Amino acid sequence: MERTGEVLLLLVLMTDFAVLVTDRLSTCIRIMAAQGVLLGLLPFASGAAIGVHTVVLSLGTIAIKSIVLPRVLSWAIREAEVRRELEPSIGPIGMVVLGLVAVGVAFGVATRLPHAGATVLPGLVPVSLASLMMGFVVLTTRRKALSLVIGYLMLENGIYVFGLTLAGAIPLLVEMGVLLDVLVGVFIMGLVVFQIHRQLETQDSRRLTELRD
Amino acid sequence: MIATLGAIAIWFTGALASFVARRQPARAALLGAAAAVAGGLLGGAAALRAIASRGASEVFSAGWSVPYGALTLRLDALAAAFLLPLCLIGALCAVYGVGYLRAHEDGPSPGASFTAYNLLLASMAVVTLAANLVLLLMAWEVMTLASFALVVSDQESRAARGAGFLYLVFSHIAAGALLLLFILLAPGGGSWDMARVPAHAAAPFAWLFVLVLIGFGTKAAIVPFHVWLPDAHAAAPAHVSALMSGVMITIGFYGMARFLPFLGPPNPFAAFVLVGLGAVGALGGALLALVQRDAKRVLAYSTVDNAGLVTLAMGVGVMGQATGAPRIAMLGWTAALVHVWTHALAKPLLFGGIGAIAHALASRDLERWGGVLRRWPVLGTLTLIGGLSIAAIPGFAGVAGEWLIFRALFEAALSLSGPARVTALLGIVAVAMTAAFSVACYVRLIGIGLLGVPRGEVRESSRVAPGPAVIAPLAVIAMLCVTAGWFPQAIAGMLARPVASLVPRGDATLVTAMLQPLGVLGMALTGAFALLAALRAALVRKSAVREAVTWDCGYARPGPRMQYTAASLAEPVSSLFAPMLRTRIEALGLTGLWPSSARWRSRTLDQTVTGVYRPAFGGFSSLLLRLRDLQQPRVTTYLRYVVLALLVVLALLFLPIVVRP
Amino acid sequence: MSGSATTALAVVLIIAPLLPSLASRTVAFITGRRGAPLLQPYRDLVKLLGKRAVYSRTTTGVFRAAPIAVLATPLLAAALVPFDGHGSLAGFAGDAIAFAGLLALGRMLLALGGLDTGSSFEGMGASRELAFASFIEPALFLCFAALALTTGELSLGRMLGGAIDRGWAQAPASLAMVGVSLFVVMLAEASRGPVDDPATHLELTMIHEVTILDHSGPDLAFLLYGSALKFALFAALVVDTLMPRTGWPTPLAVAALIPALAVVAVLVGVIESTFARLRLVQVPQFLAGAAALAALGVILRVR
Repeated sequence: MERTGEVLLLLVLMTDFAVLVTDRLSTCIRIMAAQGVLLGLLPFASGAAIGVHTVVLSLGTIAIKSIVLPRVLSWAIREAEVRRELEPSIGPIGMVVLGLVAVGVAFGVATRLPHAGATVLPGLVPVSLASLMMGFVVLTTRRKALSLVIGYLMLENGIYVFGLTLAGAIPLLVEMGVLLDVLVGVFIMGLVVFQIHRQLETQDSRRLTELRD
Repeated sequence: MIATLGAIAIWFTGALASFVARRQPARAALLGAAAAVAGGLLGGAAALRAIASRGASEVFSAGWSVPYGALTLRLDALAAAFLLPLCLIGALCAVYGVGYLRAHEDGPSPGASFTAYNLLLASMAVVTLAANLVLLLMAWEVMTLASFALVVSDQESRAARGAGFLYLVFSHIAAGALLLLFILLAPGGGSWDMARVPAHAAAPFAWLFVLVLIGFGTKAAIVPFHVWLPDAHAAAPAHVSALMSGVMITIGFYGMARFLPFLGPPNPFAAFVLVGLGAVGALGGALLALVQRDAKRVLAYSTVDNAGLVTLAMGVGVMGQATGAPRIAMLGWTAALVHVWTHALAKPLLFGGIGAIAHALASRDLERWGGVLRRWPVLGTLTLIGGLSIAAIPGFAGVAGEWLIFRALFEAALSLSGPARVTALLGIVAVAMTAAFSVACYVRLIGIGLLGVPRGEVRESSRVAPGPAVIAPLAVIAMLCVTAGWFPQAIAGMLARPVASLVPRGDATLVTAMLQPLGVLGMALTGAFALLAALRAALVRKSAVREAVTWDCGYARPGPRMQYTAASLAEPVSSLFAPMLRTRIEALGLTGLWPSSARWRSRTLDQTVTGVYRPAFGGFSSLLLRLRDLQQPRVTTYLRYVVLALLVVLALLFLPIVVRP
Repeated sequence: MSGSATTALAVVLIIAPLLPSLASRTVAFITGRRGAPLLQPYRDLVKLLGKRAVYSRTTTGVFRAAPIAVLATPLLAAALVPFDGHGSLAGFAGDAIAFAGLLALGRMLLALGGLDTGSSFEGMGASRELAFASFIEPALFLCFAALALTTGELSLGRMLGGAIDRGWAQAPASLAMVGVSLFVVMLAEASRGPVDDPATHLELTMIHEVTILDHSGPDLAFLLYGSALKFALFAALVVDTLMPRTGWPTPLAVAALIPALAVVAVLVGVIESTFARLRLVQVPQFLAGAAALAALGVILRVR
């Protein structure tokens, strides 16, 4: 059981890295959908007692993260006609190095956090931190608004993994909140992206500064 | 001790003799070189004995009228470890210098050159031996001035003068740092002997450490204090570059090894700084060496790379001491000293070989070289051996140091914890990349410079084969390089006592045993080479070998200009590491349907120069220029200044900060 | 130990030329062709050994030393690899570093030999080989670092022979990543797709093939056998990492090596025929990915 959990967590990390090095938006969305499945399976392997709420959480996660959101995002890129991240400010090798630094820091910090080792699956905390930081990496280096949505999703997924450490203590509460949060956030951003595109005929987030008054 | 003093005396006499005989160049050169060799032999013998004997260090002391000064010289194991390469390479480079200067009739005057050369040898020896801080500082200054004279001696060109000026500026910033360091370390009253330096220094560790880094690190070419080196080493005559690159930078490392223990107990902060600067220096030096077009600058940047490796190894040594792991400390310090020695062999060999080739081809531009190995097989082979040595190829000298550095880093990664472990792991990556870069760099230097077909026009006058005075010393060094590749344990064995003086708790025989299999591997490699060569000779009968043109893919007349160039060979790496190198490319032409002419030019500048020093010095000089406004044509202005100064002095009397007697 | 190690080494020396052949045969099968017979490399080697050599007039001894170095270095390196899963024929603490050094020597002389001809084809190959080495080298050392951290050993024979079981018990994820990373390093070192294209002779796509363009006769035989042996060395490292055979009886461990190597070769063929050859600018990214994977293995272990 524990082994399965660790494999799932590693795969989550791998998908994060894959997003970092991919500049094609549709591939990014597919990777995030795969990550959604992984996250959906994670509650079964995170050591908490398996009950109805685990199943609900799992199904809900998979439904939202790997079916609904990818559809919405795919729709958005179709509408806004963007295919790939243009002129990435950092090349793939640089992104990988940044990702490695994020993972290194996450694993270094996690051992020093109180109670970090207390969960059944010790990898939960470092992987969630790494996922969070890699989300920030995407948010700070990409320019297309839709890429930013992907980064935001990665960040949210990190928080979701962190929430799993509390799954035994506070059932459902944290998770559902996170899911709703993501849903609403992504919807809004998708709409905003669409609007920006209509108004400015570009998706370059640098030009958002022109949206004054 | 008598022998060492004798060596120093011989060098001084040699300097004097070449100066006196300066009107007869041939005699001046002979006298100077003879003194350098005799002093080198005598000093080398003394250093060998000091390294081998278990006895206490030898001391010579005499009074000196200079305040706080005393003529105290001490030959201990650590000093001997640096004195030995100095004597050996000093003697061999002097022989080479005779041949080199004879070939350069329009070059520097042999009299002046050998005066400075012998002074340089003597002053470096005194630096390694000095047990008095004032004496050390004086010898340090003489060393700087003598080497400055040698750097600017070769050409009357602006470039050489500029290089010399840069060298002088950096040397004096360093000397200032040393002076400050010595004042902070100095024992109160009496003569400032090293033995009397108090155990607890008066200043915080970090300050002292920074002063050591600036003071000695400038000579040792530690990043970011290395910027003088590429220019100076490229401008100096070949034998001087060889001596400066092989030996003089090690004097800087001697200073660090000698003075780090004075600063207080080993400090992890210092270890991280050393490993970090070392890694940056190694990577940056190797990358910049890979893109230089001037053959001597390639070697100069490769010196920065190797200095970085030594710094990194020292850092691992300090890390071992600071974390209480004598085995790691032992490995790190041995790696540093072994690398110093093997670099002191390989780099003079390369500078000698490349210098002779540059003279014969009348160009230092790699893009005009080629076909050297075919034309001068002996000189080419010697240079090739130097390249294989320094690229840390098994079976040659350089592998011992690099292997030990890796070994130290691996063991540190296994047995230390926390930041020390992370540092060691990052160090492994840095050294691995450096190794790959330096292999690429020497493939480029040798493959473009020595192999293939001559790229430039071949002048008939340039067909002078280098004389025996040039070849013989290089052959000796090359033999040492190969022998060191077979018996790396012998180097570690000789350095066991110097290292033991730095790491008292370590077991010095350990490293010697570790290196033994590496030597066996080197010999096995040589054996395998010989066997396979014999096998091929048996397979390919002499009569069956056919000579043809290089496969030319349908081109009727392959020309030398169609060969790969140095720039194109380095292009994949330089474009991959463009964010670090920031190579500027100017491309002109190739427009329209029938482009007539095109020009392409790439240029890579040292980022520490363009990013750090130029803005800093530029700001400083514009600040100073503003002071020019103080100068006014009228006398009354100056009278105002006088009154102002008087008022300031009077005002000071009312402030409590002035201590009144 | 040395008995089975010798047997295993002999087996590898004999079957080494089969690996590239098997990979190419797999490609042929997938693309619907018959392909060359499996034993063709042996016939080629015999034929080349009997042919006379042609040397370019521009070349020197360096050109003639290159094939010898390319053969001698994997031969010596082979003594350090535990082919039987228990221990190597020879070895010492830190021989992993020497292993990399030996390969660097082979690479250096191969590139020098290429430049010796003065042909820009060979220069192109040498240039690429050297550029990619600056990513292969850190990836390889990170793999060794991860192996050393998981097993606590510094020699290849001990790391992959005796102590790898302990590694799998403690840090399976790290070792799995090392295995994949070593596989990618193998693809690059053995000049297989998607890094290199062993099938074409077009200078724009090749790395290794173009560097050896001017060698002929016994020299070419040495080069072909040497690079096949290098392939086998790295394949054995991958097999040793992913399929530890410490607990197995030695005859079985030696016997299992042959099908395992064959599986690796077939896998290489499958990859070669399913992935397009990478553009040259993407190769460093691919190799950096391998290095990153090994680095992740290290990070997971350091935790």
